[in-house]
Amino acid sequence: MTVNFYEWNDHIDRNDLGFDLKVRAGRTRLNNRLKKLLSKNPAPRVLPMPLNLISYVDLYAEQVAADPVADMRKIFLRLSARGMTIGGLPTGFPPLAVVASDLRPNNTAISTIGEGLVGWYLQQRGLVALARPIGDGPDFIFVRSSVTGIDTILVEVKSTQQSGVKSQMSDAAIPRLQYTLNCATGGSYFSCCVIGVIIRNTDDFDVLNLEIELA
Amino acid sequence: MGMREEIQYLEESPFYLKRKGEYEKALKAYAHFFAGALAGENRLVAETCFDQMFDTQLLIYARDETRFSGAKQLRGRLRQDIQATLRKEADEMSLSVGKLYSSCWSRFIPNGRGPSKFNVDRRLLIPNEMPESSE
Repeated sequence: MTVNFYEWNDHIDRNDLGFDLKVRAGRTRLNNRLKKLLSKNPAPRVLPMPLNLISYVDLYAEQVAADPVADMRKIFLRLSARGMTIGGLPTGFPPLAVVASDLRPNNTAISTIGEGLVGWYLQQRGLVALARPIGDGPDFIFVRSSVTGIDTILVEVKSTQQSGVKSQMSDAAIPRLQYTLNCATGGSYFSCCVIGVIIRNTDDFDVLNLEIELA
Repeated sequence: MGMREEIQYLEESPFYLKRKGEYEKALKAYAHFFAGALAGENRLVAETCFDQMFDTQLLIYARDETRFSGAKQLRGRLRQDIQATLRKEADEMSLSVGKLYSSCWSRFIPNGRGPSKFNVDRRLLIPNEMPESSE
């Protein structure tokens, strides 16, 4: 019953970022930079899973779900019953020739668990939830008081049941960085977090945090 | 984070307080961050806090079943109540407050530009609103 946290941090000068975002070559350069950063494998920080995950789902998820964990448990059970691993690979004992792609998990369950887990993770870091824009980006606005005023952390969450979340994260980071840059007024601290959540099983999660500070 | 720290943490989060229905505490917490954001010229946080304060104040009216005879009366009362909340946190009212208030008001009474994004329907607060009284 653990959550593995992987964290990548970077900082980009606001002027350089503005220049890069204006031209296609700059955006490609930025994307490559993020992909290179994400290709590093930091040691995970392991924390016990929150016992009341559903209360964090209720608090932080955009959509209302009664029991998304039960939905995910069911899909994992059916995948394993059909001779597949959780990631969709055949185990060599397929009782029926049903491929994993025939079974689609509940997308709402995936996203709500991811958002709940990310809310909990950011709480652990001592950040204060300010707002959760509905039907709009970013997913969360977190803040913390500092000597220079209010630090602002804009958060985008990408959840998945399978691997491959890193490319989703680097792709999502570019528009999020643009938004963060547009918002970064005054001398306050601004950072953009793109957080990927991999639901490996209902008691085994990876949280991947790509945090870019606008210097 | 232990249970005690978590409770203390959550009591500082205006988002949590608003979700929990503790609107007065949420207003105070948003006003606190609003004042900090104005001092640091953090436009995003200032606008977000102001939007949330406006929405929370509307929710208080809805909860307390406060009703208004027209848009003008509601507008005056909102301005007064929000200013009273802000005055407790910030000594000097910034000029930007007026702009933020007008922006929220025009979104609350959208004047044909689509539905309001706030949680309270204007028709609930102004049950006998006449068409010409909208601003």
